[in-house]
Amino acid sequence: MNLMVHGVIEASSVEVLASMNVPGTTPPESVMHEDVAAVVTATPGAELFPTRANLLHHTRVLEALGARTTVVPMRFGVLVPDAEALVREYLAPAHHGLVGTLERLRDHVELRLRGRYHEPAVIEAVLAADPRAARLRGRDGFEAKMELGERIVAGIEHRRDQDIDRALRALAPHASEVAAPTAVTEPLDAFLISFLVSDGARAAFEHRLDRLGEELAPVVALELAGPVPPFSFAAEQAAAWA
Amino acid sequence: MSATMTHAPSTVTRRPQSGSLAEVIDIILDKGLVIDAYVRVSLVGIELLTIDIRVVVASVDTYLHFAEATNRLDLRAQAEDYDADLQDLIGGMAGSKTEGAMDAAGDKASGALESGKDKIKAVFGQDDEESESEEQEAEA
Repeated sequence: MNLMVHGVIEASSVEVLASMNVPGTTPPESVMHEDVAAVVTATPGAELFPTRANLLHHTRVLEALGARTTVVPMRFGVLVPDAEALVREYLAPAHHGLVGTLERLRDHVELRLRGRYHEPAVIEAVLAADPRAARLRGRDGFEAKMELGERIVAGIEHRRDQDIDRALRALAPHASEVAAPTAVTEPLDAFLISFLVSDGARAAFEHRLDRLGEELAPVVALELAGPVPPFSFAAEQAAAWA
Repeated sequence: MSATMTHAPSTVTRRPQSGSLAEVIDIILDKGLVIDAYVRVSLVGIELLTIDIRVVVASVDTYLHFAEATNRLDLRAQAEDYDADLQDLIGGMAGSKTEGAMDAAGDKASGALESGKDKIKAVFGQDDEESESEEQEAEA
């Protein structure tokens, strides 16, 4: 039976697995090596399909773990042939790095901040800054429409850099680490930034976030997800934003 | 988009968990630790899937969307303009010198759509037998 690897926790925390109840799935098990333990689910088949059920299972296990202890999440899709191979080829050689990462993440949570442009508000803001676009507004003809749309999109892109900067300036001082902002793919997405925040700094972070929300309204609406599994900070050394 | 988004003093929405699968899919597929020798899933296929779909959404469609959205801000003229806009768009696509470009973009887009669809089937087709327990999970 192959083992799907979800993440790594401290060996002293393995008793949390007994209290985990992820509905509709077999409870995860642990593979111990010295003071670390990999959390795994036995899986038939030699390949892991990225189905909705499998993706959700991996996510839910990590969320349940994260609510109880410090976990270093694995990327989805890691399948090892057996416990011996997992120890021999990963837990033993990577032991030093795993211990360091667990220490870095202890008493921290990942909070993921998404900013979205409120369409009418951001369009008004761009029109106010771009007289040519304002003149094209309401003009008939395919080419006029294309130019207008292009100018609006360009105006939003220009604004985005400034908004990312504002968000980072406000919140980075309250975070232990900041992941590089994810590239935006939808035109109305302003930014997606992950922060690693210590339990002690959480209240200050949230307070500053509320103020940022007020500063950016009504053009940008903010959404904070988390705590989420610290995927963005799982690497041994995550790049810090300075 | 609700009216409160425009007028509320704080616009921060808080969600305790990762959210929908669409939200986490990028993250769980390309972040987190890996054991290089034991990645047993075609991550490349997944990345292509999202890129293909985004090609369709990009460029022409996006510009037209924003042009329409901008013009719709003027509520007084909205109703009568809407018909004119449609006529205008159809005329523009059929008759102007951009015709060739639009056709090419259309072909590209439908090609991407087709291959995206195949991939979605390949990826999510496995789900059928599991969807039942999945729904129970959602209700729990």
